Amino acid sequence: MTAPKARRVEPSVEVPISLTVNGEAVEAMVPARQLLADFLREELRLTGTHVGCEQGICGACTINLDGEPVRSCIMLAAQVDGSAITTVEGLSSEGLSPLQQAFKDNHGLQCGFCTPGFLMTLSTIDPEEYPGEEGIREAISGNLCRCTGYGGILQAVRTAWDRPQDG
Amino acid sequence: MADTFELGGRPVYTGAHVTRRQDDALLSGQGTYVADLRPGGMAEMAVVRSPIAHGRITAIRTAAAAAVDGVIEVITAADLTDVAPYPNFAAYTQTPGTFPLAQDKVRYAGSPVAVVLAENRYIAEDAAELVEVDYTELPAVTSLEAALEPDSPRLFEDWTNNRLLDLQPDDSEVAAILAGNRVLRRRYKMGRHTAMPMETRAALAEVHNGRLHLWCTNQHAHIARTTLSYVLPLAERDIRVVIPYVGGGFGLKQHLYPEDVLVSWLALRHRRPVRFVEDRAEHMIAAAHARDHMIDIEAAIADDGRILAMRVQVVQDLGSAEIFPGAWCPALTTAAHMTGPYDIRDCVVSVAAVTTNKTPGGSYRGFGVPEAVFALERFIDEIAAEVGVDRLDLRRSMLLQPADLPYTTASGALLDSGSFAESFERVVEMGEDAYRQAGAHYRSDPDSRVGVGYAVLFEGVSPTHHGASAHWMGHESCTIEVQPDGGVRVASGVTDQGQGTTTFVATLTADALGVPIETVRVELADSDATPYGLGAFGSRQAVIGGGAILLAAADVRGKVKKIAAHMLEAPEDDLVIEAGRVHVAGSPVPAVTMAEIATTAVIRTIDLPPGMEPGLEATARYEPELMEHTPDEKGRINANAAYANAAHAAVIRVDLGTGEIEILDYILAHDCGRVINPPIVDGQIWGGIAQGLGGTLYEDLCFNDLGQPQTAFMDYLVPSAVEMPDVVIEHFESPSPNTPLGMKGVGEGGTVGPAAAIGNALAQALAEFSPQIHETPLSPAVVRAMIPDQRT
Amino acid sequence: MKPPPFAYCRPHSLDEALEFLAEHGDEARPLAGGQSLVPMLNHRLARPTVLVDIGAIGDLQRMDRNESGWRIGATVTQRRVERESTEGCDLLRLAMPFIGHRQIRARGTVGGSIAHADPAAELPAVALTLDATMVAAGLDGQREIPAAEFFAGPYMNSLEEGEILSHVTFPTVPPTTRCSFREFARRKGDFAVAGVAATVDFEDGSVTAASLTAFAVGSNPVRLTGAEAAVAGRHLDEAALIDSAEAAAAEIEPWDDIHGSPQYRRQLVAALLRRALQEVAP
Ligand SMILES: Cc1cc2nc3c(=O)[nH]c(=O)nc-3n(C[C@H](O)[C@H](O)[C@H](O)COP(=O)(O)OP(=O)(O)OC[C@H]3O[C@@H](n4cnc5c(N)ncnc54)[C@H](O)[C@@H]3O)c2cc1C
Ligand code: FES
Ligand code: FES
Repeated sequence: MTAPKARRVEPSVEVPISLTVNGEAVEAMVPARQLLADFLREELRLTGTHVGCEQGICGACTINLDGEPVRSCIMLAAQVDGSAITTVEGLSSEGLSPLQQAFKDNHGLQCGFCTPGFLMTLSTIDPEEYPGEEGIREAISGNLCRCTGYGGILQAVRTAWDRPQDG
Repeated sequence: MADTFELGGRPVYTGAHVTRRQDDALLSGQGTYVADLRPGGMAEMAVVRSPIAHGRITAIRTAAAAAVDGVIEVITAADLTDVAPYPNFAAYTQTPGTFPLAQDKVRYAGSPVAVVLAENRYIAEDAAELVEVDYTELPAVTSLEAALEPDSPRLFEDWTNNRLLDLQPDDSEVAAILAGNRVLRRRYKMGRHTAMPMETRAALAEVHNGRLHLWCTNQHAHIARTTLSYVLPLAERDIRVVIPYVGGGFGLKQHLYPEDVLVSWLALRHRRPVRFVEDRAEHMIAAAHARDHMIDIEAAIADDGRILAMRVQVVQDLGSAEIFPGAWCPALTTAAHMTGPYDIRDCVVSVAAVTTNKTPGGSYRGFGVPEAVFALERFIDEIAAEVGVDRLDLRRSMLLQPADLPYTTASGALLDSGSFAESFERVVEMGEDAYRQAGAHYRSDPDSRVGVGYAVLFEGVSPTHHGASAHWMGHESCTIEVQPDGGVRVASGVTDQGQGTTTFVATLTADALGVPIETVRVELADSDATPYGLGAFGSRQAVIGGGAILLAAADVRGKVKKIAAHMLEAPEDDLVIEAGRVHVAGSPVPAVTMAEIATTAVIRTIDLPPGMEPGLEATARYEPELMEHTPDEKGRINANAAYANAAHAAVIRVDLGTGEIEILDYILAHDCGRVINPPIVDGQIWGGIAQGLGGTLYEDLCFNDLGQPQTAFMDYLVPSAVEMPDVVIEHFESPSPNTPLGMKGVGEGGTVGPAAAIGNALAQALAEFSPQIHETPLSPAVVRAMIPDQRT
Repeated sequence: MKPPPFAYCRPHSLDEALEFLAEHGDEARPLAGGQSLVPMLNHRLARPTVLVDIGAIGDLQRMDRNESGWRIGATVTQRRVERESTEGCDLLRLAMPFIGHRQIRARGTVGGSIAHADPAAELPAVALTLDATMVAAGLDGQREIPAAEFFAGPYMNSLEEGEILSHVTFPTVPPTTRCSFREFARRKGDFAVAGVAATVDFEDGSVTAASLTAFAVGSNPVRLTGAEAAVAGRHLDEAALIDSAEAAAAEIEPWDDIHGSPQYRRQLVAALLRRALQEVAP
């Protein structure tokens, strides 16, 4: 490998990071222990990323990190130096995306607290990898919703993925 | 009833799929929940909680915590000298005297003992770890059986026992019937659940012009405001409570928790905004738990299995009971539902609600009904098996028929309408069919057994509030104002935790006034902006909130027509209001618009009919007439404005190797009277079933013998989309003659049936092993234990 | 649920990471995907004062196949293993989807899971079944640790203080070897209540070699040597299935938790093993 040897950077309690969030460059000095979800919400004021458990289980905090859906509650802000992040606020620059519209048309949300997490998972993954009706359920199994019983959400995904039930 | 509560014209939106108002904001991450608020200068709070279940506090040392950089203050109960304990309005109970922070004793692991206020939550948590509390541990009471023992350690030393509530009605009549007949006895239990909204509790307090502003996740703005005025040294007029977007409530957010009081107190003291956002670990031990009932049934049985009389004892485990409003009412609700939609004339229910060293129980969707339905519907299947009759025929022989209505149940519930038998037959037809198919499919699989189970039920909705104490009973309010440009502002005391209340209010207002829904602006959940109302509980908002809207709208509509009649010089009775215009029926021109009418009413009052008062606004309150708020001398009470009904069928497959229950088909026939927004109703049903299934198969809050909670969030198994079956919903509409538009409530119906339906399906699937199915959860381990290892 | 204070660094070379660990001793901890460590920090169950993020070390991200098997760098994500074919290592591929959810696997690493040694985790069970080799890097060089010696109790491994697991070699098996991976979890993506992994070789329908492992039933994954003996040389007929399932149930020492008693876990292992063997039977 010919990569230049990076300068040794000692452990510190404040860490400089630079990254892209929803297409915009961001530079910040973050406390080493700050959770990525808190950085997005409290520093960047992107409060669409919700926090439901801070232990990786509920999925409300899911974001798109370099093309993968990840939990922002169990990552440190310090770890995303050099990355590109999309949050729910960055899903559509004008109006609703087809996925968002499908949620609206199919009553895919009630309280809306879980919704950004579902949207970020679904907008990041490739539907081809989740074939059939079972695939839809599997795709959203890492996001919990306590209101809808998933009926409206499943219907929204079927619509967005153009996948008729029993088809 | 029909004359007072009407829509005024042909409904445009009512009964149609009106998309929800908040969706655009919520879908793009713009919905503002309490935790999203961050006013300048905000400080954050962390709570020091008791690690032990029962003990006396002997010392609290806060100096080390207070010395942490960034800590503003550390407080304990001793600092709250100007705070009063929460009141208790139910004269028939013993009073826990709940205080926001533990005073001398802790009564559950998780009990708030001290509070750290710091520049942010990270620092507050650092400091909270440094608060040292010395306890003298006391023996813990960790089960309702233990709490019932006469010599069990008492949680509240000034009580005579651990029974917060102990109602033992005269049972001599029933006893006489039991004495002369064959008697069957069973004990049923339902585990401890919690609502587990995806948003935890949160509160943010600020002082504005000398007034306290509290943004919180509570389900009722006005009750919260009044309660704060009871507890804090503040006049009620100096408090404003606002509830922004809320991430699900399901009853859990009905309580005004200690943290709501503490952020307020700290904000007043430090004159800076104070925020508390509960974390999920705290939520597991400090937000309301629910269910945890034991029900003993003794019934006199006829030869054909019919129940001649029942004596029932309901016991609810309240945990420490340190919660406001107090949470014994589910037990009373259980009692009120013990006969189900069956003709059982003699039924007497005694009710005890006991304190244990566990997290306080509180409200959760279903509110005592799942417990009653599970016990009764299992019991009926067990009678059928014992007597040797068909379980469906046995139900048929007791179910209320249309000719029986109106019917007053043994507990006093007035069933004025319903489709009990009809909905039951529908799910039986579909359930038997699905069961046959499942049987054929799994016939050759030695590791599978299939079964179908049914539950048929009624559920009281729109209940009296606050523990049948005749305090905050059942009314709701609404103000409708037509503004000079013809737009409408409607403000109501109801609240929205995601059920779609806002859309409902807009729908009904638009139809009742005859205006386009886009011109209606809804204001809810701000105690400064809305008339006093009771908010969300017990699926009441459509019925009672709807009643208030219709009354206010009728007032405004009357005036609109009077003004229009004057302007058009046409007889008032000939006029119709459509799409925001008033004209003579059958001839769209000439017409006057709402804007013209409102301008006349408010600005050019010179054009009003002579003698008419200016303004185009009305406030109305609705309190259902037939709903009762205190029991009669026999303990009977018609505690609800309406009764919805449902029938459930579950077809399951049991894996004999793992004990896992797979739901193959779930069918629900539902009747909530008149439907306002069909997708919202379906959404409520799906969500309710998911919670009902969760409690039946997955969710369980366990404690060990020391009262230590054993269920972390990762073990509290909220079902995901993979665990959730497809649901087939069949709709019935039996409008109530006694409610506005014939509406009933829809919020609970899905939640209350699954335990019974699945329990009965399991009994059928495993019939060869004679399983004892008397408790939930029916976890795989529990089910596996019903299956012998050696099978032939 | 916020982490306690710590200092953080993100070295780009393994040596540098090892130096940091050496300098800070038992106060320091490697951070890989963070999918176990950060939840523990949020719960304040872990309190390192220095976190050495090993996520930027190129050497640890390599994944290649050599004659002995798949050599997978410690910070290769579980998602990558799931997506990129690991030919000759079917068991690995079969196990991957059971690990948490897609969002967890996107960050969680192979080395992190193995180092974390959760008794209910899938990767340690796979490593044990396949006789994988763990390679530990220290300031004095590398050493190899066989899977059978690596796991040292619940959440404990046999790395020395200051060592980093640099990669794991999963031996490949011939195409004729048949594999099964089965687990029972309460919900999709949850940690297993019990699970079994199996690789079995047959000749003329009889078992010539079997490697059977149970996990989530004790402090670490365990090889079911009794069950292996019960099937050795036999056709997997009903009697053999019963014998092996009974042997497995008898030889494990399961724990008790709210999802199941020891008795229940024995029953589960018996049922899962039976099904795994039925699946691989020719
Ligand atoms: C909701 C949820 C569900 C999950 N479900 C499952 C599941 O079903 N099955 C499962 O197996 N796992 C599951 N996990 C855990 C997940 O697989 C983790 O990724 C894994 O356990 C740890 O890998 P990591 O890369 O995230 O390690 P980290 O969390 O970064 O580290 C874990 C521990 O290992 C140490 N460590 C990490 N890498 C090294 C190394 N190279 N050398 C030495 N020490 C090291 C760390 O210091 C730390 O102590 C789940 C996690 C979550 C949040
Ligand atoms: S908040 Fe991140 S998964 Fe729940
Ligand atoms: S809509 Fe409320 S949690 Fe999903």
